[in-house]
Amino acid sequence: MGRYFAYRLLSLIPTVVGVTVVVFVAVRFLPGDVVQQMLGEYGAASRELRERLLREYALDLSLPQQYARWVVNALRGDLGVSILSGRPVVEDLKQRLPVTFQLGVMALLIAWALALPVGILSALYQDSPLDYALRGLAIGLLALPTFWMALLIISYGFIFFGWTPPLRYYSLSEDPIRNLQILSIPAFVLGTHLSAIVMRLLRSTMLEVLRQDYVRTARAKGLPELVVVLRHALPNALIPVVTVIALQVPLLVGGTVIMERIFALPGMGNYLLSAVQQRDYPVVQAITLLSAVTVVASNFAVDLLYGALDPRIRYSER
Amino acid sequence: MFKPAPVDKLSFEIAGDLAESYQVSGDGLVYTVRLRPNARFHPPIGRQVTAEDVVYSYQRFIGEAPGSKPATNYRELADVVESVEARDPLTVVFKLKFPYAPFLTRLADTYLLFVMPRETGQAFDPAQKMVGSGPWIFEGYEVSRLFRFRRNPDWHLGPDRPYLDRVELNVLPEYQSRVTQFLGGNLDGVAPDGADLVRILNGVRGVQVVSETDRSVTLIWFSGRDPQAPWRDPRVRRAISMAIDRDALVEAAGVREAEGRGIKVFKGWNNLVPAIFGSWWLDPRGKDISPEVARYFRYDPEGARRLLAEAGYPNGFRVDFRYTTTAYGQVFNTQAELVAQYLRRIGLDVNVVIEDYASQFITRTVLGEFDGIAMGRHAPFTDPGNYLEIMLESTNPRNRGKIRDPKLDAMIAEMRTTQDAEKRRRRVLEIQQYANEQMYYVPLAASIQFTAYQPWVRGAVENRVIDRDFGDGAENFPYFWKAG
Repeated sequence: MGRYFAYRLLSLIPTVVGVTVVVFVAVRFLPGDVVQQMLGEYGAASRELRERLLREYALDLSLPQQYARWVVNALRGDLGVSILSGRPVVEDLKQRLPVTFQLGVMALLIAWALALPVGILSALYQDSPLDYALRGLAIGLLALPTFWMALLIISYGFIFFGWTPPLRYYSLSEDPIRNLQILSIPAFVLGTHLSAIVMRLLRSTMLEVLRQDYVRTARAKGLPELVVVLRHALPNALIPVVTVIALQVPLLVGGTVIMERIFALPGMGNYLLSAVQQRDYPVVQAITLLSAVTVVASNFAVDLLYGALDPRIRYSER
Repeated sequence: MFKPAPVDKLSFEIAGDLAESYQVSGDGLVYTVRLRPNARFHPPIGRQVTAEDVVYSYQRFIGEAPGSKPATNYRELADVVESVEARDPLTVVFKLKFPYAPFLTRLADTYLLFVMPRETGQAFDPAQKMVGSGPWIFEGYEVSRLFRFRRNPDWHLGPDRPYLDRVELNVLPEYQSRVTQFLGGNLDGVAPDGADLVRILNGVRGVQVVSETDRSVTLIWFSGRDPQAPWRDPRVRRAISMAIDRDALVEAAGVREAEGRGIKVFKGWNNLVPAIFGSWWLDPRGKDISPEVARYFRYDPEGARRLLAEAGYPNGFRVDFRYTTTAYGQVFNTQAELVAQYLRRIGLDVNVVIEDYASQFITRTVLGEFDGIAMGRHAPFTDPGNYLEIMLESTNPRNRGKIRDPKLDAMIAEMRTTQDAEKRRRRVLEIQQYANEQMYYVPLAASIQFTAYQPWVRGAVENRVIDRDFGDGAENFPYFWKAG
């Protein structure tokens, strides 16, 4: 197990490096570099200024040189300075990361809180009107874009109930009630969208498990249906569903960008969007690095979780 | 150092801000500016603003102060200014390379020279803190949340102003969120699109709405790259101008809804100098423009088709029509769609190319590096002559239409150095008339903007300086207050 753990951990490094290389190169090949954007329509008037700025931000170096410099600094914990604001990226991320993290966790909790009962009920009452209704709900939630749902909630929330999202963000430590007030709606929108996938998957795995011999045996022994479902069927039905958590992390990262924008949350997603629009390379690279590490780590955690959930799964020692 | 004169909100006249008085030498080469003795920097500096600070700020602006880099637009002053010196603690002397009549109005431009303390970078980090001498003291910035300012009790234009104790500028990137927050009473002011006016007027009892036109110019320009392009013929450019119903473009800004609710809206057509410059604007429907040139502004699709036929294009031609949908708001986007339709109506085979503002439009099309024709807005200036210099002078690198006309160059050079205001005004009108005759650019309707204030905001409608480009914070907010 120890060797497997170390082997898997090492194998993650090329993935993270690969992602950073792709992002590093891709963002630089987008039309309009950061200096061009800083100069705007003064660009043609200031060729010498352009060269000076390129030198100042070390953008005159070759791509491999720039990348090597960034990696060395990142390993020291220095993710650079935002070209546009002049502030250290690490300082900005310290303020923004908790917002995105909290939004993500709340969205996942809402997703699972919705998906578990719906998936189970849908499987238990297969092909009944309730099943059709819940399947319709899942497909509907999958089909509705999150940004549209968010704008709809903001607009109709005011029209019908005079409700507006709180204007200002307060962190959990500043004011827990206001914090939950502002984060609950974006987390709900994001969570309902994510829950749809889990609902669909859980329904099908539950249907499969409920037809297994050991479930029939449990019922034959006279166990109450609730015990059969929750103690015997659900743990086994959840095993493939757990992998979906890892797959949902990238969706979550993308979703937070949109939610943070619409609800004016000071998180990483909002920061990333502005940085991409303005080609603020150090910010884009830092957030991408963090996102890549998060996604890779969550996949890794799920791999390990597999063994804990299913004792039949053993890790190869090679 | 200067700001728009409060006595005449519809012109570009200026008044002193940090400057108490000024003198211009007879040859127009030396500007001597006397600073107000009561102007002080905010904490942590807290001392008097001196001429040395102005010299430092200029050096910082052009990238010659230690640790500074030039502002992207530094050449707008550096090309004109020979030197800046502090004669005594309160007297600054600007020596120019050539007589430049709009110099003082350039000093009033918020895009140019900010007066900062010479301790900048040592006593405080300008990336984290703003220290100036204006009406509001910077208290803090919460990332992507808000900017906080408190009243400066020592403001040199005080002490009774500013009236408000604090100002908070919320960061709300999503337009729909801004409107909803305003409707919910959480924001004191918002700039709604015309399409949302009715919603706001119905949704907030006692709401105050101001309609404004600004200093930007919405216009069409032509690629100067292909010498064989159809629009090299002035008849084609005039035809394109005549194809467009400017009144319909005005309507697209939500004018009917506003007027229906008793809001007075300016419905003028801009020229190369926008209408907000009053008597310096050659009104396409006014008495100063020649009837022949005025004809090119009137909506006349039949006449446009005839002109195209005369130019050898009876069946039109194929053209890329470029604009951006990510910069100027929904009204502009609707106007651009309308323009594309108008061009199709006179027989042009229009291929609409929508560009990203940051990566394509501003870095290529606005610099004239494109094919076809483009529609966009020109940056605002504080002096009418600047529009003409930048758009029409052959040596100007920001001449987006790549206009090369020696007659215009001579007219602009003369206008720029004419010190007498009335004579210069006449030159500005003449240049517009000539450029309209050639239709090097096709100016469209004036941009109309609405600003809505909650009923409890006082002084906003009465005191608002119509244009925002001198800076809302110093020109408008000090005169606002809130009902109790």
